[in-house]
Amino acid sequence: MTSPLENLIRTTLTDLAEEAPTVQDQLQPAERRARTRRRATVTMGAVGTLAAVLIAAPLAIAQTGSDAPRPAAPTAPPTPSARPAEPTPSPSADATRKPRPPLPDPGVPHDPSASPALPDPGVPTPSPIDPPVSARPSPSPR
Amino acid sequence: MDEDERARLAEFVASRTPALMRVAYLLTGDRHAAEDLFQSALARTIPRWRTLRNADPEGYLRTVMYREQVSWWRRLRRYRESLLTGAHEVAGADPSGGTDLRLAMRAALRHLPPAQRTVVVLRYYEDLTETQVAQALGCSVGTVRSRTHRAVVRLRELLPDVELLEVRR
Repeated sequence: MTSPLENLIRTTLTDLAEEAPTVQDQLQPAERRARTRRRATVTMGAVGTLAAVLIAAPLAIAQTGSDAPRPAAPTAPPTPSARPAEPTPSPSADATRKPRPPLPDPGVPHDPSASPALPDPGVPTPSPIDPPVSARPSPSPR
Repeated sequence: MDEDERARLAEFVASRTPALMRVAYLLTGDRHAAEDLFQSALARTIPRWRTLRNADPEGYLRTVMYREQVSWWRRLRRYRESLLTGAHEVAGADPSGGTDLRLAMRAALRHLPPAQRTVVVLRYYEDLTETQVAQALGCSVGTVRSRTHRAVVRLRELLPDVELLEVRR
């Protein structure tokens, strides 16, 4: 059921539609608009990407700079004092290593320089070479 | 777009322009605005023509026109233009020999906001249901109902003689 007002609206709209202007070819202007629109879209996309890069690049660089370790110092030529200490045989060394040479008879004198006599495993032997600096015990502040 | 597709597009535009221009004119109420709306909708349809040509290009074009008419950006631009061009509109001849009431109704329709005017055109000229209008505009049925109600109330306010029309009936 339609009211008189709705009828009036319909009639008026129908009359107005009859007065609609007749236009000529609308395709060419519309194609021009479409090209302009596409160009604007591409331009705005490029501008947006560039802006994002310009904003994000410094932030990214700052982020990576704070996390990464400082760049290494140039390597100095090796000095004798900086050489690490040679390993000294330890009594607690692995038993699977090469078997030791047999100990000489204690009753027979032998040339000390001929064969390396190993000390008694139970007695600690001071190493002739100084340990590295880092291995030395540092004095406690207390 | 190759020649064949462009020929089909040109044929579609040539055949459907009068009907679509009528709708655009009803939606906008102004000749230049109607032309602008139609071209704008067509410009949005052309890039999708390849996928639309086998579907329903007219439906797509109409939907673009409806939504473009109620879009916020277009409303802003049209507001600026109406400040310049509103004073130069000339009342055309009334071929239907309309009464004062019809003339008043035309003026009242022109005073409706774009969203309400679009709903009125879709409901009373295109004869779409509320659900179809909601789908075309991309809004809810409740929004369509409220806009229609507000539009009718506004028309009643602008047309005091409508009460006489109902009494006469």
